[in-house]
Amino acid sequence: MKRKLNPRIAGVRVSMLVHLYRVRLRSHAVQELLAGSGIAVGVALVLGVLVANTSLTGSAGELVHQVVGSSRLQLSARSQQGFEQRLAEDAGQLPGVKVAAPLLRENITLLGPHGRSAVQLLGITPAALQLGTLGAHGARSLVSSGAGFSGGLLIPTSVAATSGLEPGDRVTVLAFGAAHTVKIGGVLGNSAFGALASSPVVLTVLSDAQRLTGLTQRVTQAYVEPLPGRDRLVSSELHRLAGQSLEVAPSDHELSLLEGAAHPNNQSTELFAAISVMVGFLLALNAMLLTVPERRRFVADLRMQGYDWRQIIVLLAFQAIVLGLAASAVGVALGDLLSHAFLHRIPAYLITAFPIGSQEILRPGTIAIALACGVLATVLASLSPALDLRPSRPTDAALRDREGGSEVIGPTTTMKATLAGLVSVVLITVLVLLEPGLTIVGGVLLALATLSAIPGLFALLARGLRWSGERVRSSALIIVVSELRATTTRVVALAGIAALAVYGSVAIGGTRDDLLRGLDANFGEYLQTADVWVTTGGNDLTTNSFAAGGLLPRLRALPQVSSARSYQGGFLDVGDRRMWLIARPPGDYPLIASSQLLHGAQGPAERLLRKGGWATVSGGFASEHGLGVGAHFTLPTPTGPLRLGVAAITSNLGWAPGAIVLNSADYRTRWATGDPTAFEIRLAPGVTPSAGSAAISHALGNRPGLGVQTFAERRHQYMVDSRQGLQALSEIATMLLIAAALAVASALSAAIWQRRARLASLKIQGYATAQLWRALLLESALVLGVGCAVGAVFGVYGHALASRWLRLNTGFPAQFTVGLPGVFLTLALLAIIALAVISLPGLAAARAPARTTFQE
Amino acid sequence: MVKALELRDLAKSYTSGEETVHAVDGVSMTIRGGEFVALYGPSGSGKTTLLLLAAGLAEPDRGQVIFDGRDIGELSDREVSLYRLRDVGFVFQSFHLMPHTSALDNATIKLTGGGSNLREARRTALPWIQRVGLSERAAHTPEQLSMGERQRVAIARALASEPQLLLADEPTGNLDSTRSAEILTLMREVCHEREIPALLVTHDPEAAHYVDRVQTLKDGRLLEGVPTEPEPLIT
Amino acid sequence: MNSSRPTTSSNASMTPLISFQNVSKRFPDGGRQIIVLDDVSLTIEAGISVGVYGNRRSGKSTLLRMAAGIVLPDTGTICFAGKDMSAMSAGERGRLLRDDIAFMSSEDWRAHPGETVLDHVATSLGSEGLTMREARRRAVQILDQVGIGAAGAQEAAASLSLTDRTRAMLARSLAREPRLLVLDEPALMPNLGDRDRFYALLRSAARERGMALLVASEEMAALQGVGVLMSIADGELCSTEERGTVVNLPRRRAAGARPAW
Repeated sequence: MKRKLNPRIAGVRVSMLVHLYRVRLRSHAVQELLAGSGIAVGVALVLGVLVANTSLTGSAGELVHQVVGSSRLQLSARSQQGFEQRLAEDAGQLPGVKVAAPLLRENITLLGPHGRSAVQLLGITPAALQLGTLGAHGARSLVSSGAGFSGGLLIPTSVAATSGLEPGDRVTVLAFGAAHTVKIGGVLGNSAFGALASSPVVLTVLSDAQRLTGLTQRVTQAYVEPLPGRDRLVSSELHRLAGQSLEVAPSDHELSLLEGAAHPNNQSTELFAAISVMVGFLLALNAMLLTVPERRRFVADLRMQGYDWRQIIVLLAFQAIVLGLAASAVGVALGDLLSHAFLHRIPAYLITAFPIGSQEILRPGTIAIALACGVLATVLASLSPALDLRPSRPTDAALRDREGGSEVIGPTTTMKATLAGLVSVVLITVLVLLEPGLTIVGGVLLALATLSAIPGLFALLARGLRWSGERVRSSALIIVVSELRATTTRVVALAGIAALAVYGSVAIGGTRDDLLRGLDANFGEYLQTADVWVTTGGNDLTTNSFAAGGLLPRLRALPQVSSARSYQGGFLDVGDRRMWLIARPPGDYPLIASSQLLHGAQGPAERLLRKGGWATVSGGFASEHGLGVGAHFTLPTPTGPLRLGVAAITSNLGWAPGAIVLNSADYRTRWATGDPTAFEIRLAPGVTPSAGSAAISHALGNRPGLGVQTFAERRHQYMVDSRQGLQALSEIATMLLIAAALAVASALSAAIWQRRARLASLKIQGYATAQLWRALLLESALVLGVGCAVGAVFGVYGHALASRWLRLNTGFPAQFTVGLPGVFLTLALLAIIALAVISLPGLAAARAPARTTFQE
Repeated sequence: MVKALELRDLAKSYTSGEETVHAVDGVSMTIRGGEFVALYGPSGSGKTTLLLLAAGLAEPDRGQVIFDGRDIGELSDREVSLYRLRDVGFVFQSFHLMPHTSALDNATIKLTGGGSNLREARRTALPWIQRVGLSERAAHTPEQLSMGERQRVAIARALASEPQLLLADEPTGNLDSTRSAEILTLMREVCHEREIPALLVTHDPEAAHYVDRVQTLKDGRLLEGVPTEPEPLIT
Repeated sequence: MNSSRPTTSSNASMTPLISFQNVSKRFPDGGRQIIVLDDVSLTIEAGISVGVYGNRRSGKSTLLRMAAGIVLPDTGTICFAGKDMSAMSAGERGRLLRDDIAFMSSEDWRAHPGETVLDHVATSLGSEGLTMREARRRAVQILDQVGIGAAGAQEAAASLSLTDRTRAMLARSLAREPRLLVLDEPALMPNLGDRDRFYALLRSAARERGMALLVASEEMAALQGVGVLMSIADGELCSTEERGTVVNLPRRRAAGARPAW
């Protein structure tokens, strides 16, 4: 006889558990749906933020691994100008080397039908195939003759989409200030290109790349794969070959560099992730708490039918896990959508220095964490009926308990919570003052302290309302007071959601505003040395060089121009920092942005810089190398080590890994290039910026490879870039607020709905519908108000701590300023959404017919 | 001046599913000022519906509720609210007090609803809290009061606004026999002293000893007198 | 008046099914304690039916809930089949409700919207480890015994008439074949014919199964035909008389007496 597998848990058949849950789903579909959607929104938030937190370095990680293939070491140039290809070939002949693949990597711009796309050009040779670089198919189609490739550029689908280019199109490529026309050889999708398909990268053969960039017989990298077990030998051989002018590093060294650059960004998303996880958890918890009275009766009924406590626990856990998993799965899908819609924009300033793709990395671990959060909240909340299982409780207690509410928080608990909150705020303050690195932890603890302050505030509020009720003629006050005095866990959870959402928004929003203000001031000063800037354009921190070829004298000859100087800049990898180099012509005034000066005096420092052999360094770099003003340090350059004195210490000038300002004369000699990355032009007195820039464009022959911008235009571009990098965070913050507002509103509505009997009894006492409605709105506004107020106060404090951390630990120029308009905007947004949502169910409850009183 | 409550040929039916229930089916009765009337009837006999009609909380299908010469059915929504606020005192079986609110403040509910501030309302309500014997426990919240005390708070609340009509729905339903006696005595005294009509809906047989007149509602219709003792026993 | 020790025992050497010995129970009411049961003793033998007459708030529900092990006494002992309930673990007392005692109160009716009568009865059998199919098969038989046929079993439980609801509750109680059935205010039925049929059904079910019955009501009619009749008022179990004797109604204060406050 065939037997179906139908095991028992604690003596109950699994099929019976399934049946009981089906009954519940059928009979309480709306509650389950409400609870489920609360959980789903919470999980979506958690996932969205977790993805935001990992996608940046995660996607770059995949990309870097694709580019470097099986190589383990690299030889790399210290400037855009690269090194001789011969050296890369020599590296291939070194003892112990299996393969060495030369590579030329430069930032270029494509002019497609849809506009400009800034991309990295990768020029590769057949050796790349042996490393398995770039996805076998992509590389093979490029370098092996048999694949029918007829030259030109291979572009990934993402670039094809943004630029509007198609295979066979001819495209203008801007590189080193010059324009070339090339054919698009093909578009490579995910299957062929992997992570590269969504990265701002284009491929071509090395010789074509050299032709496009004008770097004949030069490369920027050689990726080396040693024979098994020969890594150390190869490393020392490479060092010998590199001498003093090239870097030898692990192939994936770029990842550590990127991590350094993205670190502050990641840390602030971490803080935000922690807050969102808590909000998500509370959302889920609260949604479940709403179903508790009804679940308790269900449980009591089954116990009266002989289900023992183990069976009840199994039943509750089973239902919670099913609901938790289902809702969390929806949440994961929702969160994935969320991150696709909002999080794929990569901060522009990072693209300049790193080839970061927009690929989302949805790791199994991330999904697991989000799912676990949802299920845990569901299980925790749904186990509360298990409290009825205490032996001291009558078996049928829940059947007879007419109130059916959640637990009331007594004055002792309120007191303890308030004290705990105060103590933790003090502890956090001490902790963060002593060790600013613990600010993220402090931020999370502060969020918890936010919750502990809520019961106390409710108690105070009820007292204040009673006081005013004695003096003000209001029918609503006494009703509201009686509801607020019964501060239940559910009300605290509701206010807590509002508080956490506001806390997160205010803290993050305020810090962001501080940072933007600081960056705006910084870049304003940085750019004010010229009225008109001539650069290669793009979001590049002025680091892409171009061939000057007699342009400067032509500009100087213009009557509109008072002076024109050649500015040089670039990136230099020092240890795990990709430093921003600013090589200013001595004619710049000022050389140092005074607002960014941390140590040292402006006047003497500028004199030293003009003299040469001195530089300013940013705080992070200085403390890492133990440098003070007047100390000396050594920088690696393409011509060997350069010894410089520290003239002053500055903020990081807006580039997270740090910046070094030096004299352009020093740069020209030691980096062995006269190619500028910008012309700085002062206009003659009386010439308007627009007239000046028009004249300059004309004089440059309207070269497409060069961009002419007035000071205001260039500053605007920098402002847009710094905002764009922080955009995703602001968007999640807004969504967090909206989700919180909706959740609070729906939970409040449900709670109000459960009170219809009491409301109806007031009607019998002669209260009019409008009076009751006003009371309900007032009460909702107060619950929200308490949450918002606590959240705002703690949020401003969190903001102060975070700004301090940005300044001290990351060297960003962020000065703490209370942004009251921002705080009020946050509060208003939350309150308006929530009250708007509540008003209708509130009215419906206020209109409950008197009969409801008798239908308990 | 003595005011009377008059019900004229009232009828009200509900439909639940396919059934139509004639909750109240042609009831006429007059309760004079100072008259305490008990209305008996088994569960589902329409007693509560009759109370709701008298309080203007439900609209009759037919007939009129006349109080103090006014037809309640003719009043606007706002006027009906005012009728309940000023003229009607209502006592429930399950009290319906405001949680976590003192006995005294609970007794002020109708006064604040009518526009007094809490301080004035307390001054008015305090004598009533004393009258129902809760002087010592005026500051206690419902959670700290016994069932009997809670019902006394509810009575103080109903009386504090000096109503012209007292309606009670099973006020002793949740009380033991001693507490029931106390509550019924109190209601009777108030009804007589203030010469207001009082209608008590109950199925407590003891209540008959306290009222001036007993009526029975059966299947929506009014019968005179006390309900008969249990039906002939079946062996 | 003092309660003598009521007993239904005809043979003192047998262990009674359930026995109360000097049981008292207080409940907090506001800031005070009220005595709900005051020094109550009684025994019920297997297969005997006992009726308790009492008003609301007289303590009868507490008496019954104690007999089913739902509430424990403050003082005194309650033994089921010779075992002290207070000494049992929560799990053991829970299992009493599964295996030996069924408790039914018209107040506790609780059906899920959309659930059929059949499933309502069947789910109560899940604690015994039955599959849904096995539970439904058993439920069909039981429903048939209480007069709910195949068509009635498929109706929605939530919209049952008062009469059918009471029958369904009885079916649920009988489904696990208890040795003791405790009924608190079993039948608040508007139709007298239905009510009498219900009590007849109840009595025959008890007789056929040899099941003991403990019934409490404020309606005398509900207690017709029980083997032993008692009455309770203000926590005191006032009288216990053999079948056929006159029952002392609990005395109440004379009308109009002023309370002491």
